Amino acid sequence: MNHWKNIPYKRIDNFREFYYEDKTNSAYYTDWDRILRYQKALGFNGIELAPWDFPELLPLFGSAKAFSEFAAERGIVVSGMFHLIDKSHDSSHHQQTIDEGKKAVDLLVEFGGTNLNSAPSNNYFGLGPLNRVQIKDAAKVITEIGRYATDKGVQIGIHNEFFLAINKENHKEYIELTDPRYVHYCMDTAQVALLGEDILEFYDTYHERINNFHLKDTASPKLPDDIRHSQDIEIVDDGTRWFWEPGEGVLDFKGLYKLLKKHQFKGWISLETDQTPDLLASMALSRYYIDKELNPIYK
Amino acid sequence: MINMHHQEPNRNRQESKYFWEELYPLISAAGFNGIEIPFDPFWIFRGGSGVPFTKYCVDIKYNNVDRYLEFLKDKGIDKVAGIHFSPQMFMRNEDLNFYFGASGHFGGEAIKFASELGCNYINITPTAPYGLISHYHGKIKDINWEKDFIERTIAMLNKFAETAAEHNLKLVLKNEYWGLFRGNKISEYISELDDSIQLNIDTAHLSISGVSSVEFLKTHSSKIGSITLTDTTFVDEDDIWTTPNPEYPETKATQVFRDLGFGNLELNSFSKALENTNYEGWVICSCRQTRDPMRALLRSRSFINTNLSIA
Repeated sequence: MNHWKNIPYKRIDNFREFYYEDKTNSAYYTDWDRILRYQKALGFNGIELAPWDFPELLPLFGSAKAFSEFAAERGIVVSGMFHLIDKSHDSSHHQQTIDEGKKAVDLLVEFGGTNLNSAPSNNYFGLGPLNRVQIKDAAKVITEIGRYATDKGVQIGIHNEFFLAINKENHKEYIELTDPRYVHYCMDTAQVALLGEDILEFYDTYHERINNFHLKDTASPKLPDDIRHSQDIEIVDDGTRWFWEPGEGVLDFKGLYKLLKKHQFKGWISLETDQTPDLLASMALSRYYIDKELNPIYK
Repeated sequence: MINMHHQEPNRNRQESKYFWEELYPLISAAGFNGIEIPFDPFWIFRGGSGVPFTKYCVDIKYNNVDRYLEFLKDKGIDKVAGIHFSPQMFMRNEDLNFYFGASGHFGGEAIKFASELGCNYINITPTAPYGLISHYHGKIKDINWEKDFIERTIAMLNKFAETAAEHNLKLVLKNEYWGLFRGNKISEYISELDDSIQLNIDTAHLSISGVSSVEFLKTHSSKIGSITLTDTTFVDEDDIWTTPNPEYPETKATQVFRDLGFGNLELNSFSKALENTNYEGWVICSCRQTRDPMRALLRSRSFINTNLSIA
């Protein structure tokens, strides 16, 4: 998923002049033209967009389609977008949740993307632990949105995160309650490991559901309950990072790629480097690791 | 000084509490003992409570506002002079009831937050950018949209004035070059606004609107409630103010708001004019598009010490 800050320009034509205004690297990270070119140069052919991109991106380009055409001219397609299934545990809110989900599906169709990767619930803190009815309701509403998505040629994927109300204790139960015809799974390797799962075992078990990946590493798998359940824990007060570039943490990506080969995985593998202080460096570092260590196993 | 939505090509670092706690003593070290904080509810919804831009965030990280103020004081920040609230984030779809409903609610929250922080004023941006409103609403061939929008805005601002008065706060209006009240346009609406509402002077915004800050100060001297010192070289020759994202001119990339002293405004003339008035409020130094906040702090101090009579 895209983690650049808001990108305010389509293309900067007066690049040298703009650079000289304050002689910093800001000029290099301020237009979509260059951001997309960096991606293409480093061998990343798709981009997954985030909801917080849209308030500026859509007025800037005029429409989702216009952005996709602009990206396609630079060899990049929109692979998908991120979405939150808000208040999924609360059936009294489901009509609004479904309407929002349908809007997200429609927008993704306009972008030409296929993967709607969706956080299955709000945060654990202040909400968890969910009871059985709430878990069932959460599964029911994502299935409903998934049915609509499937009709539109979009695959909705559960994107779980270690601090959500769908958490270690009910994660698998929730997956089993969703309808596999309409609901897939985006496996964020770091998030799944932080939840407490062994990523190899998890993929081997759910490989038929997993239709795309967020590839990222962590140095702290199997977080204890008191951390996963605490308030606003994704962003830590002292700057502790949960997420690292593949190869910079402790996850067994080579083992995962062997399983991808075993199951002949076909789909998007998105590199996600949230929490890095230098997105371009992280892209290059990851590309080196993927090319040298992972692609020789399965490409 | 810290532009959470555009500065630096990554969001997360500035979302952590440590970023801000490293910043406060540097503000003080640069010779500034008061700050203006933006009220930005974006951080309520994203779990980024390390960003101290709402009461919700401050309560989570410091238990309550008083403890936050004690922390600031310990780091050399004696005063939160004011809070700035802009309704821009709520102009994101075709639903004007959503825009005015959310703006009214969160504007009220901003006023209460300012009151708890012991601020002198609440600085409110009256409208979302003209071009952004047009993007969502200008497609409808309704010649009255601007008139209706301003009427609803004035009603909202007068309600804010009531709330501010209840909290013994001065309400001032920020006058951005991209808003519906831009430049001298605001003068047309003063008679419809509550008498308690005062005006902010933002030197760069006024200049880009084609208005001299010195003249504006003279014209409205009894109404000036806060000052924001900003610098620019930008001249709006292409009506950029009418575009959806006017802070980033689409015809030519440029840093509209330069670090203080790096633009070409006659800020010393303004400073002298200000001295000749009875103004006793805060002067906020702002480098809102700086490429480096830490350097901007020192650049600002150096500029003030060297060039301004109000130092």
